Amino acid sequence: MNPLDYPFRRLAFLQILLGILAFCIAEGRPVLLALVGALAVISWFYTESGGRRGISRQGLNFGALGAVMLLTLEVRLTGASQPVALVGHFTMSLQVILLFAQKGRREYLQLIALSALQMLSGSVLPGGITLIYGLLLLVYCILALLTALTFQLKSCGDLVHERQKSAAPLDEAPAFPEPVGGPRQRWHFRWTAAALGLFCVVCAVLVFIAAPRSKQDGLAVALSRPAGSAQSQAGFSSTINLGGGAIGTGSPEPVLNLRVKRNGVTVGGEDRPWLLRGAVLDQYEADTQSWVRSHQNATEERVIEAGDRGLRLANLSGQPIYDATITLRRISQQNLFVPTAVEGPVATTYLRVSTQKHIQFNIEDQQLMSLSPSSRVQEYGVQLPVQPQGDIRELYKAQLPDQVRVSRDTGWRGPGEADSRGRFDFRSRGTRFGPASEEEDERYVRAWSVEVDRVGAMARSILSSAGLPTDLSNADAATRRAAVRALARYLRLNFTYTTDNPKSAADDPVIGFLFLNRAGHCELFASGLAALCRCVGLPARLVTGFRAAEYNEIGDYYVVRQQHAHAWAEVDLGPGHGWYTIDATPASAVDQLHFARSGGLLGSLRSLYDHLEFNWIATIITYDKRAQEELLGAISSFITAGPDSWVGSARAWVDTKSSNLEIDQVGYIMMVLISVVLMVALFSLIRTLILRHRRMVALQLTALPRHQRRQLARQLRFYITMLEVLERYGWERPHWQSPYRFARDLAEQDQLRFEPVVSLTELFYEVRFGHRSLDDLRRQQVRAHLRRLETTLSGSAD
Amino acid sequence: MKPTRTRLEVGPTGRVFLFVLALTLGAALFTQANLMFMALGLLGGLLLSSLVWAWLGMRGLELDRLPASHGVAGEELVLRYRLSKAGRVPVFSLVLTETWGKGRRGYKRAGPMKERPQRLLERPTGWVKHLARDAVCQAQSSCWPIRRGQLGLQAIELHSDFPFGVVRRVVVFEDPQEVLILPRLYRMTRQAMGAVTRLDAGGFHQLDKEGGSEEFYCLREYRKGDSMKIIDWKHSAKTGELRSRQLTQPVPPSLIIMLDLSNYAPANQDDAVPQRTAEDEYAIDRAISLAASLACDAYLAGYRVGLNIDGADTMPLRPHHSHPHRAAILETLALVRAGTLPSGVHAPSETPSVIVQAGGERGSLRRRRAVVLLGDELEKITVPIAPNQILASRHKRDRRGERPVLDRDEPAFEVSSQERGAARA
Repeated sequence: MNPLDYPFRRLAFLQILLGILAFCIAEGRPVLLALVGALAVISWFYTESGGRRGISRQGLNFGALGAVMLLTLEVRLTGASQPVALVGHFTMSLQVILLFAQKGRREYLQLIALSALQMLSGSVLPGGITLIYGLLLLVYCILALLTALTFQLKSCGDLVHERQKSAAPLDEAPAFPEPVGGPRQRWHFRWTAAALGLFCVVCAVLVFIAAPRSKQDGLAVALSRPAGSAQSQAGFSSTINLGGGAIGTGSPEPVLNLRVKRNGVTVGGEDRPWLLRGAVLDQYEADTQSWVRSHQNATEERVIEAGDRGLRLANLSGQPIYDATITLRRISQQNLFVPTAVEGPVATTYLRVSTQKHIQFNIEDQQLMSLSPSSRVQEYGVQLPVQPQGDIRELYKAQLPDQVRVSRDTGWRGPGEADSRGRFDFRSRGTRFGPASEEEDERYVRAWSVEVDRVGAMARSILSSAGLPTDLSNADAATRRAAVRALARYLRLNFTYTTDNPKSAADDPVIGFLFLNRAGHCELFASGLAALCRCVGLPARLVTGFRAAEYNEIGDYYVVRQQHAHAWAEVDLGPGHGWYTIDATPASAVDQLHFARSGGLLGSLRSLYDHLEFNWIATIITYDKRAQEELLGAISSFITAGPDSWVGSARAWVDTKSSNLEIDQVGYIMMVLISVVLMVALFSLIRTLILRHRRMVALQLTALPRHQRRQLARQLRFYITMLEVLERYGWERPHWQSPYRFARDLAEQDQLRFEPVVSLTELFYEVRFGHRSLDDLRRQQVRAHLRRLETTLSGSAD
Repeated sequence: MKPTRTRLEVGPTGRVFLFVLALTLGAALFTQANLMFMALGLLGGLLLSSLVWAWLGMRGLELDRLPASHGVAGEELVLRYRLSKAGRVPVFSLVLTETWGKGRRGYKRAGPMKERPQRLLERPTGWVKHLARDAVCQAQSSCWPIRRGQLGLQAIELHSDFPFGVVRRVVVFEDPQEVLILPRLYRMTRQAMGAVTRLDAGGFHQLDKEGGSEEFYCLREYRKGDSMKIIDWKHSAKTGELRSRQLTQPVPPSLIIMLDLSNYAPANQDDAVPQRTAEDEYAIDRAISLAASLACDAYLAGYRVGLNIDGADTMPLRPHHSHPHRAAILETLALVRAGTLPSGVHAPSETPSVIVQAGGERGSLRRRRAVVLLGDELEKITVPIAPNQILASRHKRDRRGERPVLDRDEPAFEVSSQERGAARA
């Protein structure tokens, strides 16, 4: 029997179980995890107890047939829309069958290969980007390393045994070869495994950093993109259907992270929320009760090929800017989200992308879309002016004159395949345009068609009560701004925010919201505001996206979750001023319902986890060609700069950190003190470990099991103390002499003087070989003998 | 001994690993998934670490085969080695294998597995799980020789595919050595031993030989130091000279075994040796095994054993009872080459008590006062192992398709006239 057989089986089983756990977590299927996990655990008890039972080869074949049938059934049910998940399920079913089988080397290899395939599949799934999956992957790699090493040792012994069996006559049954092992083989094995693991990790990091990256998304995107997952996952929609019922509070799953910097310093906080613009909808269809994009937009659509350094949309040189970095986590969208202030002009000047080759940009509504939408985690940057002034649309037109413009009557053939006139059509790419009408074209975002008089009367009454003119068609920008603020304030103060969409007697939900229910969700608030604005001559449109108000203090960034999906309105302040963002939804009510924060330790832990996950995603998952170039450039410049520069960089880093942390002098002293205490603690720990190891070596305990070794090293410390005392007075035990012989030799020299040595040696033997513990009585004896030995030796020395 | 040759091999696991590596590389480039790049790096690390470990771990290895005295056909032969490591890193999972010829498949072209009849079924293989640096250990490998004779050992191959079985560094230590394999031994049945011993007259009475303490043998003159007890006082008184009594000593019975290989010997010295098939070789080995088993059992029973071989160029061994003598008999039987001399060249000095004949009753020896045992009847007169067990086991394996089928008509052993002449000289 191979002594490594059981350790290998145990490790392999753990590895397989971990693979199943990780895949189910990546897929987000707790029920599947419970089912398969329970089956796997049962298989362990079934096969490992009672003489290693297992289903026969025939049963295995039938099981494999069943797994194939299960796969076929799943393909028919889901339409193979998620091939990666199908692969994972198929491997899982095969694993379960193999786990119940009688397993040899081949079966274990199959199981491990299936498990590895499962882990790779899981890493491509949307849930594979989480920190939990990353940690599981790390543990899996460690387990896989140990399993591989153990398997190598075990299979080597097995092969030798098999060769011996084939060399022997049939009536001979040679025993398993006795493994010849040198001293400290377990220790060597552990260190070897650690060294190999470290080496492999270093190689993995180097390959990860330096392997060539493409700007294009790979096959993983297509494979892992679940059908129709954009809305269901993000909580965000590029259209609004007001008859859709209640919206709910949404899932707390993180969707994206936003980090905003100004002059290199991170800015933000929970008191300073941002709105992330996604889709811009300017046409309300009363018959379908939904908001869509109008054909008016299509005239200003442009396809821009983003360069390696990014895409300049407008030139605002000299103005202070916000530099925002958005990390899309679990979203499969065409829309690129752009931050904007909760109330203020809309202006995006620069887009920094790494994976999207072609960007669709609309000058009119500033909607940014990717022509190669990715379900992979991606990161992009946006720049926007701190205090935008003027109408930025003119700057766009000046900056982007020669880009491909899009017409409504062109046929889409894909990016880079424009028609003979160099035009693209994006209708097949998810953008929904409303019906074309010349009247609407002329009156972009000014038409309101449902109960215009009633809504207009309401708007006018609000404006009148605020002391503002009721016809704003020709009003200046300040008046318009004041009017729209008055309308929004009215809605905020007199309407109730709720996630429900209450039924009303009115046919139209906006009318029902404004006149009957006076309560609704953010889409109704935004629609109501847009309707009121349009009825008094203010062009207004709706924007859907996210409201970023949850701020992670540890990492200095906003966490945007599915439940933070939001809708608001934008109003045109007139020529030369551009569009103005205004959110009519009561922020406190939104925060109360959608930003449920857990305080205290739990909240801190959650923030910490979010931060770690964000770092994991920002450094590992979203690592792309641009990040690679930046990192390699930084390393190159760091190396070429020389040691002086390194010191300077370190000092600058410390200064930056200290300024960020706002540490004063007392803080520095505290930090130094804490560092000293930590260093002393670390030094003590290392010293203790070294001394214990030396004791073990001196007492020749290294061959014992770990727990016994430690216990004896602690209990037999008195013998080392005795040897030290003797050594101090000139009696040293030769390493080849046993304790008994040493004590006897001393006693023969001077019995009275060295009697404590004999007693202590007897105690040593009792504890070391007699299975006696060093109880209180023996401790007292040890102390007394040591004192007496010291006394007698010092007396004789005098 | 330091290694004479080294080579790097990629085994089946390594080939699978390289395939997976290529697959992962393609997948990483195609999918651009970062974790796939990480997996690619890990696999690359595994490959690199395997290469580095193969280079570092096998450095400073020294190996010596400890000389083996002899083995017995059909029984386990343990070969022992002294293995030391001088490098800085420990080595795990060392496999040592006896090998012949050159290259990876050399043992299939030369050596005892290539010989017909096969002398070994598989190469002797041993396993060292761990060898620390500056450590010395004794390893061993086992094999089961099928036939008697000299088992020639040529080289030891030491390899380790630790840590991941991807690449394997092989170091070869040339250490030619020969191990004498004695004929396969059986236990004679009681009936057979009884039949053999009854015919021998040597054990029924005391032989007249002085120096014992049994009965009176003769008188002789007194020698200084003789005990007073053995002085024949009466005769001394008569003759006036001191006389001592000589007593007889018991002489154990003797057994002279004649191994008759004349059926496979040429008729005349100048004739060519007839070609022998594997079946013939098998019959010769059975007869030799029977003779060896008889010699050993007789030695255990206290007989003086002598050996004559007819039809082979070996000198007769006079009856004697001692451990070295038994070893000499077994060595002679282990090395005997049938057909090197015609029948009757070495005439037996004493009348054989047992004739062990190979190849049935075709022999021409006189059978007066001798028991004739046929090699073909080995299974009838020995216990408990079936005599054809080894060959039978090989044939069973042949049926399973694990071994090449033994061609019984294949000439397995030839002795040319030149060889015979050289042996005679």
